[in-house]
Amino acid sequence: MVDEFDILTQIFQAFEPSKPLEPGDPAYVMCEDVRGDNNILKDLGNEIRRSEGSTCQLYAGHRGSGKSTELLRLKQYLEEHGCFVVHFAADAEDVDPQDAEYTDILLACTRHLLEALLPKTKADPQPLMNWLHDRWSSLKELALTEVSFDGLDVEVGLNEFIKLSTSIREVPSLRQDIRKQLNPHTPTLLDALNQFIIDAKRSLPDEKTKLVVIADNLDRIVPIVDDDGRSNHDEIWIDRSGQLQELACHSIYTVPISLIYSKQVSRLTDIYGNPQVLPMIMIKTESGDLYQPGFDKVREVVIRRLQQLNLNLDIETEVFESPEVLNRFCLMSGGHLRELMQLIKEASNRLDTLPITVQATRRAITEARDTYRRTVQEAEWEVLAHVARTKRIQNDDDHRDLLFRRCLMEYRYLDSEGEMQCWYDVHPLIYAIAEFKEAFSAVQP
Amino acid sequence: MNLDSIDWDEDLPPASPEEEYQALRRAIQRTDGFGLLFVQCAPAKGHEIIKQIKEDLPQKKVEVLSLKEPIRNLYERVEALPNRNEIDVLFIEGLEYSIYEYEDVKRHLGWTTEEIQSYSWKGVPHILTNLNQQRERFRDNFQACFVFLVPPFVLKYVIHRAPDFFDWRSGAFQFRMDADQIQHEIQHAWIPGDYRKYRNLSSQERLDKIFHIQILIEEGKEQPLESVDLYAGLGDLFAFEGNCKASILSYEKVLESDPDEHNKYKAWNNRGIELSKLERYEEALSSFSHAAKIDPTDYRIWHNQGLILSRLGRYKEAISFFDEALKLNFNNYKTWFKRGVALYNLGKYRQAIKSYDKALGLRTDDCQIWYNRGNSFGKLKQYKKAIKDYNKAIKLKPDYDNAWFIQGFTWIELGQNVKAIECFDRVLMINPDYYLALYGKACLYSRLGQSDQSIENLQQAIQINADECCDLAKNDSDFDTIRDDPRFQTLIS
Repeated sequence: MVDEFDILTQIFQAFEPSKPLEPGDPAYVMCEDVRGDNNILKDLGNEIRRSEGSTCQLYAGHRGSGKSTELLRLKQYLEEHGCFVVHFAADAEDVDPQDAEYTDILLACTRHLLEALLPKTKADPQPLMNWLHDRWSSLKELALTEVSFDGLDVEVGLNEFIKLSTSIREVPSLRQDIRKQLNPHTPTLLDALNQFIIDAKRSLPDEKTKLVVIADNLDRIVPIVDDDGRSNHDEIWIDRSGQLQELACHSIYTVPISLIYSKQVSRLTDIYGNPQVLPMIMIKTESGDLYQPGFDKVREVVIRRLQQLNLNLDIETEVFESPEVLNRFCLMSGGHLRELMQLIKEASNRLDTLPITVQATRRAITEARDTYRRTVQEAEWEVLAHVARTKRIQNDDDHRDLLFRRCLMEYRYLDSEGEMQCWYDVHPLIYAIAEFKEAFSAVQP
Repeated sequence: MNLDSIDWDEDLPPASPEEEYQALRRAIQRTDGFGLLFVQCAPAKGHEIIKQIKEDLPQKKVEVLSLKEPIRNLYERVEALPNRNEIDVLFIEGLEYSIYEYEDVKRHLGWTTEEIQSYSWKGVPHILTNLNQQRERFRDNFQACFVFLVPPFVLKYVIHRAPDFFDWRSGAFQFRMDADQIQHEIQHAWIPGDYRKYRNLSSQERLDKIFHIQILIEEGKEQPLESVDLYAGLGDLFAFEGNCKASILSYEKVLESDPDEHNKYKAWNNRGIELSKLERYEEALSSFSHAAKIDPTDYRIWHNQGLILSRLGRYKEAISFFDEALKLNFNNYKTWFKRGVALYNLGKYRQAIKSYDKALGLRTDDCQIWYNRGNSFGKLKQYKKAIKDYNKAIKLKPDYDNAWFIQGFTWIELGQNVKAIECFDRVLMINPDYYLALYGKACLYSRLGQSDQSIENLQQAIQINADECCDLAKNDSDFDTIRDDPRFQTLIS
């Protein structure tokens, strides 16, 4: 009894939804061919390796689809291929996702680049210090600093940049004031930053030749629409796209999935090329049949994690009650890995001994389904029903919102001619919800 | 493989509290380092759970963070906990305080049973954005299993507004109340229908109660629950909170469930009152008449209908309703008073006076009644009686500018110009912008042949309200003595 309990604990901990995998973790499963041939190393990475100039690329994916894991892999890959990578999570200290504007992002990039490059290169931060110095008096008025700064002390300057950047996030009341002061000067900040970057590139450590900035978690920026119908997303990624792209090094920005589905997507494509989207793992085909390769991958994710525990148990009969139980988990996840983790955890919570039974699995599914039932609002059942019938979505707020909440899932595959096909489905858990079934039968096939 | 296995798609019936608790215990037990669990339950149940967990898991250090007021930043609160590095399990309760204090939530609560169609991104309780933003920091810096104890409304809110945070959960657990527990709660939480108690509560306490009822309604959704009392309570609470719309909706919910006579009557009546506050008079009338059908002996319903009809200018009908009210209760001075006003508006001054007499026989300290009766006397040209009444009104309310004013005019009718001017001066002392008093003085001075004074006052009056005063002055015979005066001519042009 004790042994088995312990095993369940190990299983519980192995399926932790909040931790991205570190690169090289044996639990990692390559899923590119069932995600529409999505290979971040190839798609984003090679673009960087091939270009002489500076690239600017966007990366999006559903919440919990494995973006951060992929970005960490990319970071390692790039580092192995001559790049110095500055990777940071924008919302940790700098950007408030509830109220974000372009200036905040630029400041965040400046701060992190300074922090990363100053100790490692011989780059001269003077242009940035000068810029800061020129802003000093107005910043003092905002009571952001009591320090006197004559533009020479780099350490002080760096601290002030950090303070500036974090103040935007930490002190909402000052945010607008700071932005007002700085907005007219962002072009000069960009200039100064670029001078710094170019200088840094001359003396990158370890014989690196390229500089890459990865700004993660910008996908969490909540869309805020003003009275004229413009959103801050438009402002950041479209209106200011020129400035975003002017950074004198390679950059990768994560973007909210809803931006990819917005009315602006064609403009976005014009500006950045095709944004990279990390779709769900495809486990069924558009026509509803099982897609074996994708399905097998999802099974593999579970099996690998379990194998790492060295349990000496047969996975399909001793860990799970039957092969069908394992399969059911995979199916109900819809190809979404975090969901898979949560389902298995939920099931294991219901048990003191192995195997994971049909009953426990049904319980986990019931609970998960209930959460989705609460997520969907009255008027949205019909929208979902239509998507289920047509496997297509429309580019409007309703659909975007449902994608954002993962009630709708996106899948991609390469057809027989090597063309990328994209289709959508309702989350498998939703299919059995009474309200959905009602709406579904009411929609004409 | 059979993909359409019906077995799997059938939801299991809700887990028993015991089953649910065991699952929660296992989740807590098995968490090593950071973990995130959501538990939906009533506060009392929450405490029970904490106690039980402490007993069942003695090897874990369990702490409770009880939030009693709204906060913006949970991370800081947790960071400030003493010995936080030793805590294995941290229960957090009271998240709802940070949420329902929020403006749009107040509005949301007003539409309790209607699902709000869209949660917009504008205006999200700061605590939730804070959670969403800080989740990595929580994970990286706090090696504890966080267990959020929340009411149902909050869980839904978190799912929508802090989806990234919610998405990291290792489990979500629900402890629903059974029918008995809910009934128990209803009986002990408050006394339905005792609205006087609600009046004495502070606004925050009322919101508390509203929230509490919400939870019970939500809990009772899947059970045959007597929700009439709950909705009636909501109706009253919202009424006191000044949220007429929400109040009306709640009463309508009461009516929808076809309750007993008493509750039906209350609901129709109260709905009528709230509707008239929103000036939806026709609907209010209809509501009241429904109530009257159930209990024709409540004089107040007749009175209320009379009030509305008066407001709509339908004085004859109003009076017949007031009469009905008086038949049932002839000691309600208000009804006599309002009846008088309606009669006055119909030009039936003698009858109006009779009505006012009755009202004054019951209450002598309402200055308005004296004033109104005075006006009626005035219309009948019984000026001395009118002045007596105005004096009574003024005695009760010395700054009653209207009473001073009309009294002034009445003195004019009695030929007492000096006394009249005194009255107008009093008016202007109370309210310097009372242009009609200035106009009145102008008239008087003109009559007395003091053209300078007259022009000066008229000028001041016109400065405040040119249109009205010019119009009046053009045709006012009082100004005949100065009509040819060039200053007069320029003023009124």
